[in-house]
Amino acid sequence: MVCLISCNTPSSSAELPEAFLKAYCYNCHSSTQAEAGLNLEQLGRELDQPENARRWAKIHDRVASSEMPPRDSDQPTQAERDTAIQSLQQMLLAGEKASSDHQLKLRRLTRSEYENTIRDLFDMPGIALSPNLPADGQSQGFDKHPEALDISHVNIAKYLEAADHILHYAIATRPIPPAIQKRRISLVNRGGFVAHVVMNGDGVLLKNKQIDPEFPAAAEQNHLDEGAHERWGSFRNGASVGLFRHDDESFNPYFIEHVTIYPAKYRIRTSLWSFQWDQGKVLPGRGTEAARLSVVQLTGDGRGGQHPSYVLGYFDAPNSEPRVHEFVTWMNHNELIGFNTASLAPTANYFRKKRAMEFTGPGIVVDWLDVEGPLYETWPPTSHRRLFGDLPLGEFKPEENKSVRVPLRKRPAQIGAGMNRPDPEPGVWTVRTDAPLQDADRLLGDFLPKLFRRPVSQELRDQYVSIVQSRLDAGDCFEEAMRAAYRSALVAPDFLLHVESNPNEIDCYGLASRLSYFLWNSMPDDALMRHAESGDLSNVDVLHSEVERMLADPKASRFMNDFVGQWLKLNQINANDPDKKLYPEYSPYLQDSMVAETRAYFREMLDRDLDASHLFKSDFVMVNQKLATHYGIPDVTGTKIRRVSLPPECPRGGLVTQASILKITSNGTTTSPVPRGAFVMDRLLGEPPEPPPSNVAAIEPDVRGTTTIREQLSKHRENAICASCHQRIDPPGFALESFDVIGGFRQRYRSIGEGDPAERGSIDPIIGIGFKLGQKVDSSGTLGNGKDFEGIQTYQKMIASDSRRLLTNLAKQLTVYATGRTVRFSDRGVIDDIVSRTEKQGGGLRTLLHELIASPLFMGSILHAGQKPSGPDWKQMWKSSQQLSADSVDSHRMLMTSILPPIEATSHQLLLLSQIQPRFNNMSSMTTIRSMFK
Amino acid sequence: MVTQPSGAFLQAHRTQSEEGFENGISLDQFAAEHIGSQTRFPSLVLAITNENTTVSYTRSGAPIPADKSPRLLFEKLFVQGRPDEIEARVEELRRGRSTLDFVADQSKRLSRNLSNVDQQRLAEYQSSVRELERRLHSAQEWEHRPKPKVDAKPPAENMDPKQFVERSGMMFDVMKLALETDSTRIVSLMIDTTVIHNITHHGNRPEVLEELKGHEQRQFDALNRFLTGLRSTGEQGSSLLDRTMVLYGTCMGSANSHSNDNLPVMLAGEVFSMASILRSTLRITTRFRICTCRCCSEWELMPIHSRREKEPCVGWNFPNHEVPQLPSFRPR
Repeated sequence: MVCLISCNTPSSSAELPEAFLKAYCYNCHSSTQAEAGLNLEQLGRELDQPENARRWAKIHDRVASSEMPPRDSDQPTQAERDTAIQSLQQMLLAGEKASSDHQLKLRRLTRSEYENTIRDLFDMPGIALSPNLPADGQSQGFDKHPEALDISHVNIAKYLEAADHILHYAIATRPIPPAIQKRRISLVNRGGFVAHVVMNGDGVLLKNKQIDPEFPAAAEQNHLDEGAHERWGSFRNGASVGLFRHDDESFNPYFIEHVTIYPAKYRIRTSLWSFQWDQGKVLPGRGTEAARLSVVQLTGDGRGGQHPSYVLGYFDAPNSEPRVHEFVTWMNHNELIGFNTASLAPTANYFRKKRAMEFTGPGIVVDWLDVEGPLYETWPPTSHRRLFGDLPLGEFKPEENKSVRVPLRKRPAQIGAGMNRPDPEPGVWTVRTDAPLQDADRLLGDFLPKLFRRPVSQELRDQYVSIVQSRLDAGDCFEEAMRAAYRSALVAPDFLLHVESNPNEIDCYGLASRLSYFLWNSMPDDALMRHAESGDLSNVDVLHSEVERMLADPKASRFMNDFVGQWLKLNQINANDPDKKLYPEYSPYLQDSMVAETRAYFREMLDRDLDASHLFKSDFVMVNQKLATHYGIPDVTGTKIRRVSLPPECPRGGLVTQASILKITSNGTTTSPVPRGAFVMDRLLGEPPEPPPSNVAAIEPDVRGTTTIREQLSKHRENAICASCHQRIDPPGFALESFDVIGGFRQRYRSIGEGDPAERGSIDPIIGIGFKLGQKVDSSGTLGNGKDFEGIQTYQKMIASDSRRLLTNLAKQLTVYATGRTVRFSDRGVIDDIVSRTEKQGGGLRTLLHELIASPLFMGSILHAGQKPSGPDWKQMWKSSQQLSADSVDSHRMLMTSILPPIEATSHQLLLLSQIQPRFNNMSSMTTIRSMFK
Repeated sequence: MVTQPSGAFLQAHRTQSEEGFENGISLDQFAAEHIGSQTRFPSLVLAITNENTTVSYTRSGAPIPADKSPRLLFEKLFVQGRPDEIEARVEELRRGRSTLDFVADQSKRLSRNLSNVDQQRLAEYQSSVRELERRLHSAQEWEHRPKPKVDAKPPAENMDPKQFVERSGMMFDVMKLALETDSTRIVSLMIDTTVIHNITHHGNRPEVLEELKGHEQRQFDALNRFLTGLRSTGEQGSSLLDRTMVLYGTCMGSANSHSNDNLPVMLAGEVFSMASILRSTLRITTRFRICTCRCCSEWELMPIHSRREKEPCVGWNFPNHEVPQLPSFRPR
């Protein structure tokens, strides 16, 4: 067994090293002078209080690293220092031991765990639940911490609603599936936005790659009214639609003729290409353009635009050559497909005198979009079979069931302008049984252990059967009675809480759940449950091979996206929109590409077992055309994210230089080294700075070009009290000053007031440039250890060389995420051990994951004393799976990482890669990929 | 109670991203715990937004979903359902309650094998279940009593984020009716101004400041109409405003620097009993603008933003020492 903690066991007689503190610390940290806000006389001595313990641990660290007392003051002897450190350790350990009984361990499912669990259990891979559940809190940077997951009556009310919603869609109430409707949809359609803007010159109708002879491009002469065109069928003659206009607050192109009625999988095909428009002529374009398809959830009466949506993917629209994209996706009730000319700059022609005939610029063409569905593999669907097995459906005849209440059936209401129609109602159909109670017992016996992720006693099962019994007695039919039992199960604490018993005595079922909620953000599958049942999951070799199997499963991208989303705050990418005047080139496509890059980069680290220095430095980036242009990297075409070697002298590489991180740490208008430095310290180095004192005013951003942020900040650093923290916080931020609000490289600040004319660079020629180039950027600095760096690249090298520090932080972050508990002082020994073992095997991220899972931190007491954490057997599996994926399709990985799924597979199997998130504001959208796998 | 943008405004917290942050109950829900049971709706939680944002939080810190459509709110408050609809609704509530009964028992069973702290978590689950059951029970009782009748027409549907001021005005109208008919005594409203977020980061540019001021002026005009409406509605010899406390404010002292010091906050109506509660609630440094209908004859509502750091205007001052001390409001 690994050594639990490398220090001595705490003795009850431990005391704080008061004499040492008095002699060497009180000089600066006492009531007379409390530098850095630390008054040691007043600091609480009760180390079973977490806040006190946290601060004393910090003091321990500063003394142990010889940072304190500072070099220019009286120094203790080494022996004095060692004794002081030791008594601090003992006190901290004793304090933790005393407080551990009070540590909350039981937590409920997060809302994304809830949603994924339902999706997997019922095979309804796109059902949207989390938007209707109350948001989770956050503790230690993650939503998986028990402290972040309270339960209130609002949660319970929402779980009740969700349970009814799930059962409504899971249960089949018709003898045959709704008919498959296949419809070819034009982007231009009756009463839609697109017809309107095409008539005003923001688009054209094309046939055979030329202007549709029946519909000339909008010019000085007004078109006839829309109604006349509709009567003539101008919009229904199969013409392609070429659009010049990007979507905006008053223009949202939707394929309005399909509005989903039955939540299910649908096959989508679309044909896209691009061209250059030159005042009436269709010419070859400038290269591959990008079109965005999204799923739009209609709200209200379904009219107008600006409905919440999320991105399905970005798709190549090649120059002059139509390309057909095909994929299968889940669509919910009242959802439709939305479109955007993602790679085009904002422009509008309606205000030009000659409208389209006066415009020259790129356009993206949609020939058509096919929607086919709903598609079911079986009928009744899997979701129904989970609940009712193979029991037959039959028509409910009231005259034969006089004493039974007729089950309620809701007709689906469709909003918007869909041409698809609901199927005729077949009458009342419901599940039939001759032995209701036996069947209830059998069905619940199957269902409950799956839902609760552990075996269910006969006694408990009987309690659920008794619900069925009482509903039957009260006059409900079998289906309704079963619904009551299932609804109770879906709100029961056994489902909603992670019951691992006491995590110190976690059993194999608890371990299986912990593993699957870590790597899949969802329930264990059947194979994992079998290992739990047989008990061999506690065998470290089995555990390692399960980890490999799970990481190879597409569901693992839920972990990757969720983890980086929280760890690196990617979920907050929408927090502000960059100022339009300063950063006119910013677009939702760029933002979505940023998020995709960081996700893909983390996946690359995991897939190739790359070491932690990659947080700060790499010789490659994961980019698509949009990002490559943004970064100044040539020869990358298309929407797909791929690995590209960095050209020499390109100031990129690692996580820190990724546009997503740089945007998240800015306010949309200006950058400041302070929040950026704090982000690097907290998230990447694992050394969170103390919060700013409350009496200090924040810096007022100023873009008039007369002062730089460095000048504004210099006041901080001249003041000794501020400097004590800021000399640690600011340096990473100084290095990152080379990058602007949207992650572009800069040598001078952009300014609205004073400055020189700015060059266009890679900014689209259609975009007007309203900013100037102001003061020069200074990205040099001095690290806490006194070493100077002249800019971002030297800084990256310096930090990347300290890979143990980075690896240790990664281990801590993953531990909080995986176990939902705070990493405490007494865990440091185990963390150290995990890190050392990982370093011995090359220090890679995948190795770290394996070592963490096979450690007592994750396995608790299941890790038998006699068991050695195993060697690199899993590496065989990993290598062969790598081989496999490289052989089959490289797109396998691309599919999961890219924001573009150009899908060519044929199966109906579909997987949602991350939870559905609504758009947060009108400018940008969350990247959510639904794509399909074999 | 009316407030603008969210954050932790009504919870006496500085910011939600603070380390060690624990969300707690918001002021409106705190009030609802005490007087909410006297009306059909314990409180109304409203928002002008197209997202899932809210300013109201339960005691455990869970965000309470807001009603976003003035039209649907109007229906909920004043449109009487058909008898069969009421029957169906009562049946639904009854079923919900029996489900809750069952799962409350389940938590007792589970808690046997757990540590003390974890048992408390299950107790929290159980009390949440009981609380919901109590609420469903009360809702079931109210189902049988007729809803109040009003002359007003239901407002139109409008979800355009750009028209947040117009939408606020529609919401204000329904809120006034809700207070007037005593359908509830507590209302919280969050107004999402994401569409003008960009210009709040004005970088001190005069033309952007001017634009921002224009938007804020329109917001204040809408508020003015609401307050004036309350004042011109009589209730038992005094105006509705005299018997109401309105808190209006925002969670940022300066959006330009993202600072939440020195928040602009305004009180109107029957403020004397409320001001001291607020002082302990908003521990954050707050600059109060207090307006009472007793001390000023005419409303003079100006954008808070443009008034920063300036001397208090006529009718807007309320010296701190005049505020009587009342039992303070303590979130958990």
